[in-house]
Amino acid sequence: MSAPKRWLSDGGGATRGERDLLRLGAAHEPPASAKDAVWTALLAQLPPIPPGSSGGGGAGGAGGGKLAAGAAKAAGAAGASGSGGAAVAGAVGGGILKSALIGAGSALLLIATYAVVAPAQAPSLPAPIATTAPDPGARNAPPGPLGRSPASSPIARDPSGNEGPAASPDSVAPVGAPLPAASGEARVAPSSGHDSKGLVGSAGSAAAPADRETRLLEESRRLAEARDALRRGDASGALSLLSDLQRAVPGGILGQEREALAIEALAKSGRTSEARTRAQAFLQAYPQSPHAPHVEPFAR
Amino acid sequence: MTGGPTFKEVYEEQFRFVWRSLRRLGVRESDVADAAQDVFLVVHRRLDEFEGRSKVSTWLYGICYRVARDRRRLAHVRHTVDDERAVDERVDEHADVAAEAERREGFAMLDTILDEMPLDQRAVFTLFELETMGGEEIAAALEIPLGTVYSRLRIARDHFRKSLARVQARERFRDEARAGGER
Repeated sequence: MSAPKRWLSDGGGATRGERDLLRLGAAHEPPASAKDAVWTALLAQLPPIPPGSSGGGGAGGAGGGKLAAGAAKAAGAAGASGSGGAAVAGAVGGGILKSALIGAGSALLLIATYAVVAPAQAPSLPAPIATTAPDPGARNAPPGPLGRSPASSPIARDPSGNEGPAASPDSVAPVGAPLPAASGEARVAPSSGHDSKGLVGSAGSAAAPADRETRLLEESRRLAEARDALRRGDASGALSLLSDLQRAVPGGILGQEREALAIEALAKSGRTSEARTRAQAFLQAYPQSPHAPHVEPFAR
Repeated sequence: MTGGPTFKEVYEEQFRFVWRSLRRLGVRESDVADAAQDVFLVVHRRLDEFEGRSKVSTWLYGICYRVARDRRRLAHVRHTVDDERAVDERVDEHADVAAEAERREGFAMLDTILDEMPLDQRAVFTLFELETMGGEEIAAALEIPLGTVYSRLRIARDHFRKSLARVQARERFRDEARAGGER
């Protein structure tokens, strides 16, 4: 049972394409800001270390009671999301990072996730909300298979109210996905409210990895075309390719790339005020984006 | 006091490892900060139980694995494709939009391929090929026999190879179709 050679080592037996991809993966490190950001968020969730407690790592005594942190977080999120404020939910739940780092849409989704798993912690909310959940049950055919619907209602309702389309359609994707997902999805579904057709579409596409792959390739190809156009100096051509792409794949995996390119193309075609507006919106939505430094000049 | 590492020390030394491990176990970019918090909350709670019987990294990996697995079960998170990779990868000041986009397309491709593997294979494959961990260490981290490590690696490699070949074949096909269409 001798150890095999690594694919990335000489004579490891991998093809060039395999090695290229692995090399990229091996070099994937956290963004510079992540460590401090997570630490700050952690501190907010850890119990304060009693002054003068026997030091020694601080983990000891302090760690005990309160650190049903996951639960606390979940409960906080569930509670707050029931009452409406997304940002508040993040903060209250201690998931500071969620609101800080993540686009509001996915924050909501995460919160929803936690709420789903923590029905027990938020027992008081469901009833009134359930009645509010207006959508004519028509949504995902099997309305009842989840038996836990009380938990679902607050989630369903709240995110939709605030933060519509961005996150939800995709979140609902995996109709054919593994079980827990499927039931969760069904519950989150109402959040995307009105565009049920979108749901179905993206559901199909994200469910199977192969489909996702296809979609990704397609997006990637069309983005490359737009990029080429922009490099050739054909800004308006690039813009029209990008808006085609947006129509074709509205919730694309590479949505940020698309938007960053569009902003650049707008600026280059002289539509500077549009570029500025969109750049500002972009930076607000994705302050941590790798594209932020490039988009930033257009926002001024 | 056993003189083991303090929580802060573990955090300082292992944050990057935890982050990488979570990503490689399929936790999305937009979700990884949250997952890392979860991991370190467990670390905080359990640090006293960690008595140096294993390396910190193998102990941590076990926690990462469970956190990633649980998140996978709540699989809706991983389908928020829209914002997924969107958020927050390393900012390289020198890369232009296009280069950065290409890099991220590569990540997305890698994710897609790895997503098709069962988690246990994915763990072995990424620890061995990307983290360059040794077989014994992987066995300890995953609490499986060494033989199982290597057999999973073999299967996972096979899987990876086939998936990548398929992706590349589709890419070629697409390119040709496009070239044809333009004529």
